[in-house]
Amino acid sequence: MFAYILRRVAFAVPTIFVIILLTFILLHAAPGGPFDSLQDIDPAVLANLRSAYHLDDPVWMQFWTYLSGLLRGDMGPSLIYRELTVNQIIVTGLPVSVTLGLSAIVIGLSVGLCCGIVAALRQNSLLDYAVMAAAMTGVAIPTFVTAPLLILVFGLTLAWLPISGWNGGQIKHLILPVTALAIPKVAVIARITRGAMLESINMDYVRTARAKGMREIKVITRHVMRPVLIPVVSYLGPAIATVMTGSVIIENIFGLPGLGRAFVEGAINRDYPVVMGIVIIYAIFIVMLNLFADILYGFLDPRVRQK
Amino acid sequence: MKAPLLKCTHLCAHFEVKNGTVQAVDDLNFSINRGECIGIVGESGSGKTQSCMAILGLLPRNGSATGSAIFRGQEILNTRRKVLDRIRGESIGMIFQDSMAGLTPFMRIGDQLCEVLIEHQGMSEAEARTRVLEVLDILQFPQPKRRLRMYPHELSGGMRQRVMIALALVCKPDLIIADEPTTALDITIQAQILEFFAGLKKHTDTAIIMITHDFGVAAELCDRVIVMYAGRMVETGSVEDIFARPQHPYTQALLRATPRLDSDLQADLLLIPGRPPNLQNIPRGCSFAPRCTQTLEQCRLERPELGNRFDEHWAACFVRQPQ
Amino acid sequence: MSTDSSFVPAGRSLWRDAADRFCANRAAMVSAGIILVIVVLAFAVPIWGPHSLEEVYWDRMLIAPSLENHHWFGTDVNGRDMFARVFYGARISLTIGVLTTLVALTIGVLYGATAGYFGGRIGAVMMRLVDIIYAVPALFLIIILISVFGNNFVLVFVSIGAVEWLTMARIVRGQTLAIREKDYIEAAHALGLPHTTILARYIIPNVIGPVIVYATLLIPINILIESYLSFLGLGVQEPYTSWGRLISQGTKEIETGLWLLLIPSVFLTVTMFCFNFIGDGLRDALDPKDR
Repeated sequence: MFAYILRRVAFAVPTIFVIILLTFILLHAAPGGPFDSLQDIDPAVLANLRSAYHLDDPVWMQFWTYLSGLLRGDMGPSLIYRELTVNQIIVTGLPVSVTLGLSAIVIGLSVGLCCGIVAALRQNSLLDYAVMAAAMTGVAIPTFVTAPLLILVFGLTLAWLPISGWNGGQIKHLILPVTALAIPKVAVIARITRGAMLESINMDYVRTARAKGMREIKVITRHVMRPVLIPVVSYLGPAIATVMTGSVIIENIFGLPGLGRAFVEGAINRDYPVVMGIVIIYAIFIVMLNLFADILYGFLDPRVRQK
Repeated sequence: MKAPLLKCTHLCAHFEVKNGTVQAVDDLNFSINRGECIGIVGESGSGKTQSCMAILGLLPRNGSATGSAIFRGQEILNTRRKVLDRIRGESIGMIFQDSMAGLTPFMRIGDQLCEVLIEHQGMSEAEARTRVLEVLDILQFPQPKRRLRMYPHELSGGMRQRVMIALALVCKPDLIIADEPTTALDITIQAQILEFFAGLKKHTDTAIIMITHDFGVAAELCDRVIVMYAGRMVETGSVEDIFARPQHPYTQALLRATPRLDSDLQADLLLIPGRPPNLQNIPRGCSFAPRCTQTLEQCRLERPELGNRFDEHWAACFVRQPQ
Repeated sequence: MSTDSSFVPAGRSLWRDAADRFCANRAAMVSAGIILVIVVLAFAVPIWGPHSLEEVYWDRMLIAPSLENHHWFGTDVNGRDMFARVFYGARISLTIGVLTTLVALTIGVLYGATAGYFGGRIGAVMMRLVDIIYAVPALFLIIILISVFGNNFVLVFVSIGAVEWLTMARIVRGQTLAIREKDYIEAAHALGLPHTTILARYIIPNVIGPVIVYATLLIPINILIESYLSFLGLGVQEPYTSWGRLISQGTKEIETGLWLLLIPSVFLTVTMFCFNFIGDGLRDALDPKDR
C-alpha cells in the first residue's frame, strides 16, 4: 500500500513540471504580446517595458527565470496590473474559488450519493424515475442557464438572496452560486451511484451473502457499497475539473472575485504570469486531489494495489 | 413416521422476460428427511438450480415462485425476509456453483466466513475465527490460518470451492443444498470433496440435496435421485433402482451417455440428439418427445403424469419398460 | 451433434439486434426525431426564413415573441430577429459540436487503441502523457489555445477537439486493455493472426460500441463548451453567432427581455437532452446488460 502511494506521489511531481512547461510554451507561441493593447506608446518606452519583463530574452531563458522564481515561491509580476504581483492576485482569488468549489463538491457528494442509493433501492418506482429525471435535467441544463434562472427566481422575484458580490464570503452570498455550481455534480453523482448500485446489487456474490442469511442492511453495506464508491471516487477527479470550469462561469455571472475571473481576464489580455500562475495552482490542486482519490481507490479495491 | 425435514409440493418458478414468461420449474414435488441425501439430476436449464433458489427465496428480481415448501413444519416459500434470514445460512446452507463469482472480491475470506457466525450465533470475532478454522481443517483446506486474510482472487479454484462449502457448513445446518459443488474442479479435488460429503453423510444427520448433471456423483453419494427435464420431474426413485431399471427414456439416455470405466474405450460417446425445449414456449405433450426414441402417438398430444412403477419409484412416461 | 435443422436458430447479426433495441427505445427515437427537426430548420431557416440574421429593425427593438411581422421569437436589444438568429446559432453550435467530436474521436481512437493494444512501456508512456494533460481543466487549456491562436471558426473547433480527445483515448484504451486479456484474443494469437488483423477484426468492433456511445454523449459536451466560450466572449465572433452568445446576451437583459435568455436556453437544453437520450439508447442497444 505504501509503495502504491509513493508511486502515485512520484508521478505527481513531473506532472506539474510538464504542465508548467506546456503552458509556458503555449503562451509564448502566441503571436502578439501583452502590450499590444497599449496604443500610442513610444517605441522606446515599449522597448524598456519589454526588457524590464525579460520579454526579449530567448524563450528557454525566460522559462528558466520563471522556474527559478517559482522555486522561490515567486510567481512574478502581473504584466497588466503593474502594481500587483501574481502572488497577490492569487491570494485574493484563491479563497473565493476554493470555498465555492469545495462546497459544491461536498454537497454534490452527499446529496448525490443519497439520491442515487434511494433510486437504486427503489428501482423502477416513481421515486426512481423522478430522481433520474431530475438528474438528467441537472446534467443537461448548463450552469450559465441555471444560474441566471436562480437569480431571477430567488434573487429578483422572491428577493430572498443577493444576486451578486462576495461580501467576504457571507453565507447569503454563497447560496445561489454554490447551488448553481453543485446541481450538475449532484446529478452526475446520483446517476453514477444508481448505476453502480444496480450493477453491484445483482452480482452473484450478493446472492451468496443473502444465502448466508445476512440481513439486507448488512448485505448492502458490506457487500454492495464498496464497488459503488469506486466510480464515485473516480469521478472526483473530473468533478474537480468541472467545478473549476464551472466556477469561471459562476464567478462571471455573480461577480465573484475568484481565480476563474482573473484567469479569463489574463488570457484575454495576454497577462502571461497571471495565466501561468493560475494554471499552476489549479494543476496542483487537481493533481493533489487525484492523488487523494487514487489513495482512496487503493483502500476500496485491493486488486488495484498490485499494479 | 416422522415428518420430513423439507417437503415441497407443486413448486413452480417462472421468470418475466422481455417477450413473455419462462417457466423454469413446473410442478416439482419431493421431500427429504434428516440424514438423507437426494440427488437432483438433469441438463443445464432443467430447473434443478432454480427450484432450490425458489425454495430459499433467492430468485432474481424477475422471478417468482408458487407452491409450498415446508421446512421443519414451517412454510418458507415466499415468507417474510426476516424469517428467511434466520433460516438461510443457519438451518439451510447453500453451496453455489461458481466460487469465483460467488465470493465477494473485495472482502477477505476470513471476514466472509466469520460474518455468518457473528450474524447467526452472536459469536465474537475470535470465537468465529476458531470455529471457521475448525471447519476449514475438516475440509482439508491448506494453511487456513495464513489464508484467512486473503482475498478470493488470491486463492486457487479448489480452495475457493472449499470456502464456499465452509460458508454453508459453518453453522451446522440441518439441510445443505449443494449446487454442482465439484464441477469445474480437477479430478483429485473432486474426489476429495465427494469424500468429504460422504463423511458428512456418515457422521451427521445433515440432509443433503446434491444438484448435479453427473450421474456418477449421484451414484456415489445419494440415497434417492430426482431426474428433471425442462423444469419437470420425469423420474424419481432410489439410486439403485434408477440405475438398475431406469423407467424414463431420458434417464436411460443419460445413463447411457455417462462414460464408464468398463465401457468400450473405442466406441463413440452416446449423445442425446437435439436440444432441450424453449422454456418460453413448451410444446404440447411430453417435453422430451422430440428427442425420444420410444415415442408413441400419445406422447405428442398429452403430458404424462408421474406414475408409480415400483416401490417408491415413479416415472412420467406413457411407455412401459420391459422388466 | 445431430444436424437436425429444426433445432438451429436463425443467426442474427449483432448490429441488427442493436438497431432493433434502439428503435424500440421510445425516448431515443423521439430525441432523434427532434434533433432531425432542429437540423433541418437550422439548415432551412437562415436561407428561407422571413428575416435575415443581421438586419436591424430600428423601430422594433426588444419585442417579445409575437405573430406580428413574423418575429416568432421576438427581437433582441439591437432589433434583430431572434428566430433567424436562434437557428443560425443552431447551425454554428451543432456544426461545432459535431466537428469537434469528430476531431476528438479520430485522435482519441487511434491514440487509445494503440496505447491499449501494445501496452507495456509504450502504452504506459502514452497514457502518462494523457494523465498529465488531463490535470489541467479542459476549458482552461482551450481558453489558452484560443487566446493564443485566435478564435476564428476553424480554430475554435480544433482547439476544443485537441483537448477533448483525452477522455476518448482513455475510454478506448481501457476497452482495448479489457478485450486484450480475453481468452479469444489469446486464441487468435495462438492461431498466428497478425496484429493488424486482430486489431481490425476483434478489438475495434468490440471497442466501437462504447466509442459510439461516448461520441454521441460528447457532442452535447462540445456544444456546451463552445457555449461557455461564447458566453465568456471567447468563442465565435460576429458575424457568426451561436447559442452561447445568444444566451450571454440574454443574461444581460434578464429583466427586460426574458425570452432572449429562455429561447436559446431551451434549444440548447433540449438538444443536450436529446443527445443524452440517444447516447443512452445506443448504450442500451449495444450492451443490454448495462440497464
